[in-house]
Amino acid sequence: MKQSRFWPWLIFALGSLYFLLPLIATFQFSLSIRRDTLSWDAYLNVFQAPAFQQTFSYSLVVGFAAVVVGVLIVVPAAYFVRLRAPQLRPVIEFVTLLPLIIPPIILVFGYIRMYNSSSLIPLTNSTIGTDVLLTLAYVALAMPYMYRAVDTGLRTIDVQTLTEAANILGANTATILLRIILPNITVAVLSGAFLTLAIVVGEFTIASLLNRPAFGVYMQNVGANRAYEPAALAVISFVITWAAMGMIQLLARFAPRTAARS
Amino acid sequence: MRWGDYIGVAPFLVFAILFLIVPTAFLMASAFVDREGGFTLDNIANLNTPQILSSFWISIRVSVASAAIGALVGLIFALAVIRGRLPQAVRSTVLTFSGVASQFAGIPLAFAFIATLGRLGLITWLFKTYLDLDIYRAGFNLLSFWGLTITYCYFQIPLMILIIAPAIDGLKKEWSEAAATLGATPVQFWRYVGLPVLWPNLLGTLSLLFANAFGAIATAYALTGSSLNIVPILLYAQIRGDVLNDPGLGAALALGMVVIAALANVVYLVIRTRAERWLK
Amino acid sequence: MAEEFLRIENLVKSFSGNTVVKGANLTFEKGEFVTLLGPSGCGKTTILRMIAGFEHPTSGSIHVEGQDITGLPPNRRKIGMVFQAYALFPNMNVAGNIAFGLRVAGMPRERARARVEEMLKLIGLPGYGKRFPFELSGGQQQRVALARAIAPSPRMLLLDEPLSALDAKIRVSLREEIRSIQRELGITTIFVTHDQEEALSMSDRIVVMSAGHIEQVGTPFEIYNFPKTRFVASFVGTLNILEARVADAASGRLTVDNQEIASTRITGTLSNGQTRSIALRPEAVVLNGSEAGKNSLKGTIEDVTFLGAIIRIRVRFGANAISLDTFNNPGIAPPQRGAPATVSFSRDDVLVLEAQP
Repeated sequence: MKQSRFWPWLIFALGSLYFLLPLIATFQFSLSIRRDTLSWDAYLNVFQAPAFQQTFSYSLVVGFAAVVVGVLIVVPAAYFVRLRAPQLRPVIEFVTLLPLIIPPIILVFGYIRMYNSSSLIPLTNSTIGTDVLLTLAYVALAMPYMYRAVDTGLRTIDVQTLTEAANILGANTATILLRIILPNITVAVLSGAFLTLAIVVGEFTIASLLNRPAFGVYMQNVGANRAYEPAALAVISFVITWAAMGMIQLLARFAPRTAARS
Repeated sequence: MRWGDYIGVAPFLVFAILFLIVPTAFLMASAFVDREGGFTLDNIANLNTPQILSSFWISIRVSVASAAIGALVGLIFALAVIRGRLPQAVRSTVLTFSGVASQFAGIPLAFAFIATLGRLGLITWLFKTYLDLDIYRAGFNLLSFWGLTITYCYFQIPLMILIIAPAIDGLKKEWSEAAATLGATPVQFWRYVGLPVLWPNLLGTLSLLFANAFGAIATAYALTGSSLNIVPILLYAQIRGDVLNDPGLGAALALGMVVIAALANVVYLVIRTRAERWLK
Repeated sequence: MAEEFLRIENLVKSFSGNTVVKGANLTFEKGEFVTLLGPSGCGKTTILRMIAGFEHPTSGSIHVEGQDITGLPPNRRKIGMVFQAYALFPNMNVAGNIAFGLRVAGMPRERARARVEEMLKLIGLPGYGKRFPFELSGGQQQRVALARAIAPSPRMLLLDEPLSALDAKIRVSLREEIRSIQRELGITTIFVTHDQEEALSMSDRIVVMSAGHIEQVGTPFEIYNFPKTRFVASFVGTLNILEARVADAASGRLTVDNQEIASTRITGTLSNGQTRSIALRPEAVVLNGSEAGKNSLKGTIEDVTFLGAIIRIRVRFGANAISLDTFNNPGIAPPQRGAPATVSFSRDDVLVLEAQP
């Protein structure tokens, strides 16, 4: 049954054009800072700017912190729900949907209202307090993805049987979590981690409203003031996002698998 | 159930309550509170200004436009790649790229489109040099409704592809074969079986795309500054200048945003659960 | 003399270097129920799909009622097809599914509705018109799929392992139903399965296939009792296969484990000293009964398996073994392992298979 493949290929070509052109244009633009020749000067300017290095490292640090907190919160919850409290699953799933329903700007607005100087937990009063708030906001943003990654990882390794085996051999819950579960879901956790980092590094709204020197804020600043450097930043940002996603795909191949019971 | 069973879930729930549910609820509630702390509907009534109403209207228009275009183009593209019998490599490339592109929003995306369709952008320059057409003279402007919509499509289309691809996969090969043995042409198959089966998914995703665009701000901010007054930008200005301005109004704006976005999301979830029941 | 309805000529199908169907020639008569039987990968489904039009033959042709349909797209062949996975359209109810072919052909609403009712009655599900596929059991869905395929009065019916996804009990009752509907309608039917019991119980003729070749075509009686090749003999029914040496070609005598037996059913010709495989059905073998004129072999009981109503005994003769079944009799203790035993069987039950090339 021969079917013409003309239309699918044409659609694919047109679609690819729409998606590739901005990338090409941005790249070309970023190389055009010198009037007559192509050069990497825009990138050099960017990398050498102290503000770049400061805000980028700030965002990375916040990102890592968000990953750690996220793991500490999500892994035990996913484990317990799967093993001991399956009736809580609907509740948990609903909670993981909330960050997708509440726009980030609303979230940060709520934070500002709730945790400002006149509240019980005046986090916004101090810089470190605000940093904590920022980190927690990112934990919330990344939480749906982190939970889904960890939950899938737990499902694939048949947590129930592993736990029972470890129990019989004398381990308590904390030991099981730390020495057996966590190592086996490392790939899933790393997936969630990369996604979190990808989200954090580019994020603008929350960081800007909380007045913290994050990478996203820096980028917007550059965009308002310079012409060619923003394009370089966009390329860098895209490469980082692609690298993070690429790592996730790569990790997916190394995920450990044992036959699940059901 | 021993309470020890719940201890592992406690940090998660505590976090969710303190940093998701309560702040949002608090914010929503303060829309109904006046300066003295009493209950009022004035804040919501005060939303009825031309500026705010037009802001909601623009937001809705941009979201509807980018959702509709994103859904249509995404659907056609996904159908072409999956059902058009293109090589497997094309399919995985498209899906991987969509995964990345759907996250590539915000500031960098705005920069990318400025470099493409801005006054000094590549496409603008190409049109001027080779087609002798100055699109800006002809009325196009990236910093406008259509400019923003086209930019939003860059992450709406991939999102559509990601969500609809499994649904298209779910269109069993046997269905089109059975339809063929019963005498149907490919067009008839799509009309009577293919599209009707996909329809709930399409509607639901449309809703999701709408909510996605409605809540987005970073891209718009970087692209149009404050010149295009979509609701998030209005809200942003409110929050920024919160000290001076009317706190109740800001909360009311937020309430309006949440109601619209949440409604769209709920529609998506409801449709999705109903559709899954069909395909048992 | 029934007329030829479907003819397949030199049908070959290759997928990127791998030849799945290696030159098939078959004719089917009008109203026949023919089964393509074979293990997975033997090419039976590929032949069916070529008849339906979903696969294009690499070479060869297909003719229906004298017309060459090899190049015709599937939606113009007027063939009904039932799939293993039912493939009911999930967005339509039962009536909608059954009426689909009629709707596409432009049949007026009233006639279509009447036809759907007729079909529902035929498959024993009257009144189910408004139900949706997800509300039905597997067996019910498959019956609806059958009704859907038959409703537009196709000239031929193709069934691709339709019972494989169902529970054992449903399988048996549904295959009787399918057969009786087919007889009532007199529609030429091709059935694909790997289950030899289905093939034997349903078909007018069976085409046994292996690795892209047609091994044998015949009625169930012929295929079971007179298998032509070792493959057919072992695939259809359970069989004992022994290695024997020809002692005297003229009188049809061979030796097994240095004991002599005779056979009256020899495929091909014998030559002295040749090694040949012989096939023996377990039901033809009797334990410890020997009569004049019958073959008998002496051996040792190797294994006794109690299966309830049946006791399965395996007797060893040097390098060969024979399995046989006896009925369980509470008054007689089952034989012991290691005990000596004599088995006997008639000369007409010994089938000497084709010489291996």
